[in-house]
Amino acid sequence: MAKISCITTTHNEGPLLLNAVRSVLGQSFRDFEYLIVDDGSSADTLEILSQLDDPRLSVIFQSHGGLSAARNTGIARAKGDYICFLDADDLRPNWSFAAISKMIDATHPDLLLCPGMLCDWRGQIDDFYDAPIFANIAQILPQGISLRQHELHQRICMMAQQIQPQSANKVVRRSFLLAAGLRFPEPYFFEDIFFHTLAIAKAESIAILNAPAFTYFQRYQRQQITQTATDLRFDIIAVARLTLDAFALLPDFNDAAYRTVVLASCLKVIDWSEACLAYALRPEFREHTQKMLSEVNPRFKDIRPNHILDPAFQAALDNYSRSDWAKV
Amino acid sequence: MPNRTPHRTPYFTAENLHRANADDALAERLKVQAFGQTLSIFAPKVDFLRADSLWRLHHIYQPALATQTLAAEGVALDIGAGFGVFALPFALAYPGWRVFCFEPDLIAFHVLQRNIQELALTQITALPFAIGPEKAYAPQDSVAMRMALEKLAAGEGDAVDGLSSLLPLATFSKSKINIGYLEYGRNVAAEFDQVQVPTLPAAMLDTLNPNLLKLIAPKVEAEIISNLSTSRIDHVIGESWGHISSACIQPPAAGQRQTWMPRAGQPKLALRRWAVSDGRQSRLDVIVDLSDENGDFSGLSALLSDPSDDIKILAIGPESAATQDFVHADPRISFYTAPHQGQSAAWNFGRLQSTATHLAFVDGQTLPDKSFFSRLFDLARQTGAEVVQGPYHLNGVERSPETNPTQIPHFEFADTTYQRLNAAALMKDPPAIWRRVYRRDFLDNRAIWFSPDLGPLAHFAFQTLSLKHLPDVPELSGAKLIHHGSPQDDAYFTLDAFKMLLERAKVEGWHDLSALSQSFVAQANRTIAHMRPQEGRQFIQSAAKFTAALNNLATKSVQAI
Repeated sequence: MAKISCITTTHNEGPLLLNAVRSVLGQSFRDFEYLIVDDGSSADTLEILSQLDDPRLSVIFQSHGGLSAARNTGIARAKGDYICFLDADDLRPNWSFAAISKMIDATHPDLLLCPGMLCDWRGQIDDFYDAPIFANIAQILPQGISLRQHELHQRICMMAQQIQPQSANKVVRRSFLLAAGLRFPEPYFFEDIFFHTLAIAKAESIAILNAPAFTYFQRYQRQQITQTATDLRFDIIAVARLTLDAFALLPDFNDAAYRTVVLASCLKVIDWSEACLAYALRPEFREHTQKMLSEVNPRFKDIRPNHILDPAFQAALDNYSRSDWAKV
Repeated sequence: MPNRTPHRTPYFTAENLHRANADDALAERLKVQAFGQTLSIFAPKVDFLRADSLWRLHHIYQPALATQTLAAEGVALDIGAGFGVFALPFALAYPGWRVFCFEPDLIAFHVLQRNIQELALTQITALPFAIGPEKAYAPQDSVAMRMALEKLAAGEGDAVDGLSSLLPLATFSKSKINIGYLEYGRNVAAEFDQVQVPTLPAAMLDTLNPNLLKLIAPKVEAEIISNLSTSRIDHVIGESWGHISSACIQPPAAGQRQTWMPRAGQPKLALRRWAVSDGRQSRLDVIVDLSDENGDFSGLSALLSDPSDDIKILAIGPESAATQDFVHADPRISFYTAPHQGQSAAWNFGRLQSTATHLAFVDGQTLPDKSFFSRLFDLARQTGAEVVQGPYHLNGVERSPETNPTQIPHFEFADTTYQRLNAAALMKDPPAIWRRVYRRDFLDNRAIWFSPDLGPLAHFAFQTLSLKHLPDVPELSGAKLIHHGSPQDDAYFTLDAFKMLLERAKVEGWHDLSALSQSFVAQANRTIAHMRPQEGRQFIQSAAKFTAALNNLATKSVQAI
């Protein structure tokens, strides 16, 4: 059984996919399996997939069911001790799995969170957006591991909740993932906040890696889901609802500060989505958001001032704190 | 002229070595984290040197390698290795790689050796030499140097001594302020002392068959890279202190040449290149609409005067004997006949024929200076910018942007300078498509085309659409472009352009509509200038409606929920 299972989903990435594949197969640490789940790609991507040949690689084909469904297919097939994800147009540095493996050996966490790099539209390379949060957590956690019984654990969780909710920054122990029932919310896009929130809240132990373990690329060569202005963005409302409902069932829900951070992180993604939407769709988006908020556990309205909140999260929270939802 | 010494250089006198060892004792531990490795190494007790080395490790080397995938095995040249802040974690993270470190500073070199020894990194060979463009050495020494390097490549460490006795001495300038900074040549500024350093000629480096080049070699970077054009180098990382043409990391230079090498003090300017994945060739295609050429090929002649091999010309126009004769005379021109459906259609057609990464759109009335487009293309490659532009003269009059860029800083670029102009502010300026170079992938991704339905206002719409998405546009000084032609700001097409842009803004959910609103006002004023007063009133009313609709949209977007 491999130590790490890496899952990449594909849907018409074409030759861009090769960057991700080469980066995974080029890892200096070699005890891993690589699962590529093709989510109904057209011929050119299938042609590229058919030419890949490596004993560690398995390609799974399914009809188009969306990103969440494809990732769940990968999770179901994974056999490694730990599971991680890599989008088909991103990349893992050669040292990524080696650093991850070393940290796993040292800390055996349920969840390992990894900083990353960003290569922007112009090819400028910089730390990923959430580098300051990782730096702050590292200051509190010199050993790089937080256990639930640790008095600072909830504070770490609240900080980790504000890390970018994306899949490449997580390495999850498979036994924990299965026991916690962690999945991506089908059939939705903007799915990451759900997985992110529950992985952090349910993990008994969270480790923080001290090396960049993925590189996110902003690319003009293909349309990225984060660019869309269409009603696909309404998915975030459903995902936020699922996230808030699931979090409301956890013991941490009783902590008002943590509850506030989770709500703020959902609202931040909602805020960003609305700002990117076609203007004609915005009233309906707001209406649905208000309705969703009115249907989640009313204790989410008990918003507490929270010095851990990043200003961007606070702004999203303030925006909705003034809305009809908060007043009812 | 460099000196050549047949024997041991003064750099290796017993006195120097003794001093270096004494300084070595002043080294203390430094924690280094990079490439997934954490290690404690010796570093000279010089705060600047430590901070400077770590900064480069965390802001250049590690980010660069985080975007590239290296093979399991290879040969790395670490030129300007210092005390090993790159080479040591690199060798641990990439155990299949052989590393040759070149470090002429004796203190740093001895600390480096001590680190290599302590970490038992047998795949690193440290050499106390600089690399330079030296060519003044005897032919027999060239053979001997290559033989010594071949021995080194074969793992014969004692070849270092044999090599050192062959090397010429070259003049370098050593900073008295930034300890550890050493640049090639004689810098007469008071900050510098001149030193004679044993220097391996850059032309010899190919003997080591490098696949990765890590380069900190102030003022001699371009020489080193160009001397390695036949080596299969897949990765180039480092920092530069002088201009390096982007052409030197493009084919026919061997290897993938994935590159990240920012300019010191200008982090947004970098020699950069990624693994190509969209099949396009790194080239500038200048698309020329020849529909109104009337036998005058001065525009094409001006374009052909540019000596760059990275520029091709795609001419679109009617089939005529004169045109055929002219375009077939130069292999850099590809000629396409297309039905005359206007300039927008011609430029769109040319774009569809192009396989290049960058595009420019001109007509027969465009007269660029000799190196106008090759310089712009170089700037586009080194900034990664979606749009870059140069200065221009319209009908003999120098045009400067309506916005005043005098307060915007100038940055050094080649033998001239460039500025980063605010893209939103440029939206107000009259469209001047022909003085720009565009990234093709950006135009495709944002669905920006010339709209034939908008007649002459297609330029305005194209400019607005392209600038709307950008933070800034680098503008090069120096070489200029001359354009002849009169603006045709037709009222009907202006309103149609406003309508189209308003629709795009709505559907694409554009943020910050104030710049768009200002560009509408500026264009409306340009259009009114060509109209009779009685026509103007009705046009103003219609234009005002569009501007009001935009403002209405903007107001809605900022309403509290």
